[in-house]
Amino acid sequence: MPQSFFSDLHNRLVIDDSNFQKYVQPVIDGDVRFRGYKPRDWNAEPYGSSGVAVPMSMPLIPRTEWVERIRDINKAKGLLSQRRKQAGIGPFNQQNTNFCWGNGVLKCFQILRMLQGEDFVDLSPASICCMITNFQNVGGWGTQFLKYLNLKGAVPAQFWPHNAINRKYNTAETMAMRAKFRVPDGGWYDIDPRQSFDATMTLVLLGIPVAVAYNWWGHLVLAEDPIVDKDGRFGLGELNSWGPWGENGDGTFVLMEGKGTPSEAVAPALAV
Amino acid sequence: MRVFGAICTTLGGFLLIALAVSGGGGGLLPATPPPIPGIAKAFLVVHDQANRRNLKPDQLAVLTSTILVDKLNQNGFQSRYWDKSNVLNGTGPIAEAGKKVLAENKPLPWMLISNETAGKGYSGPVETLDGALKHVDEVK
Repeated sequence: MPQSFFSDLHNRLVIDDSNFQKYVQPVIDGDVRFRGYKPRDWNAEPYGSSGVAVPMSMPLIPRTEWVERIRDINKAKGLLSQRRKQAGIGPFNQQNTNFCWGNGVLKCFQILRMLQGEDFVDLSPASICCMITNFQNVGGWGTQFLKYLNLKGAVPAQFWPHNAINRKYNTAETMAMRAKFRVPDGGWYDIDPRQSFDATMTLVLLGIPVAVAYNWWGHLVLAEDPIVDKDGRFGLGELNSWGPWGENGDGTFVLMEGKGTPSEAVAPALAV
Repeated sequence: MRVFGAICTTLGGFLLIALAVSGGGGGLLPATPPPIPGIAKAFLVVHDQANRRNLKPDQLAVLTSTILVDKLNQNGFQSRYWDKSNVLNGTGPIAEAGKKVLAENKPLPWMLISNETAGKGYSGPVETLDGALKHVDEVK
């Protein structure tokens, strides 16, 4: 039976089993690309144990509903990537930091604020990553970042540049600013890694952004759109943190299921 | 003649009631006074983020569609899509209007469209994107 509906990929780069190896190289299309996702230590930090990210309690949307829901979302022009672009929010550029794990989670937080109609405030991933790594340019995972975002909050980029690994920005003034940009206790979902693709798809079908990490890639990015291709394969429209990258130069790409199945995923459950 | 007049008055009354009831699109009377006083043009959807899974796709479209956001922006509405916790923790005219929605136990998601300049407004349940667009047109 022919596929009743398939997503317009809008010329986005598609990564799947056939081409993923190109993107795990340090140099991609002539440019050095930093990542920095350190696989989460599930023994040290078991599923749902962080306090800020609780187990996702909502039932998953069955796969039998996915195509129809994707069609409905496209008809209403309700893809998260469309909302984000409408609000003028682009990708982060982590440049030569190993802070993808901060860029992806913080972008998710920024998009949540945008969806609520909050005024846009550009926030600094480094303002949190540095506090966790003691100002070392090293990797981490999603809930590490989220815990500090819950404990203290982020600093606006105006006062702590996105990628600045420098103690001079850690002042009493910037510490005081953090309280306005925190996430609440239990305010995020920790996604069960055994069903991470279906859970992530459920969330993006509901218009909720998800920070998704891939051990195979050593990278954490943002999932925003549910995708079905003309062969009926499902995937996720994602936003990278490499600035103007990808076929469209807007940081977006598509990861098909398989390579797109997150090793770790967290998403906002409540408002900020 | 008097009987004829009474019949006309009665029928007219029924007609007005029917128009008012159907005019809401959501089966409710449009709120004539602007439901968000203190702001020239404002739009609020109060929803329950934790209950998002139970929304119908038509309702979800109201929360996610760029078409609605475009229309609100083009017509100068300040728009908010707030979880009930935002409303309860918020301050200002939009939060106060949202608190009233919660105090009245309206079924969520609930939509307020307010045009204080024109003295028009709408208050009703979120049902479909087409319905929401129509209500914005009526109030803008």
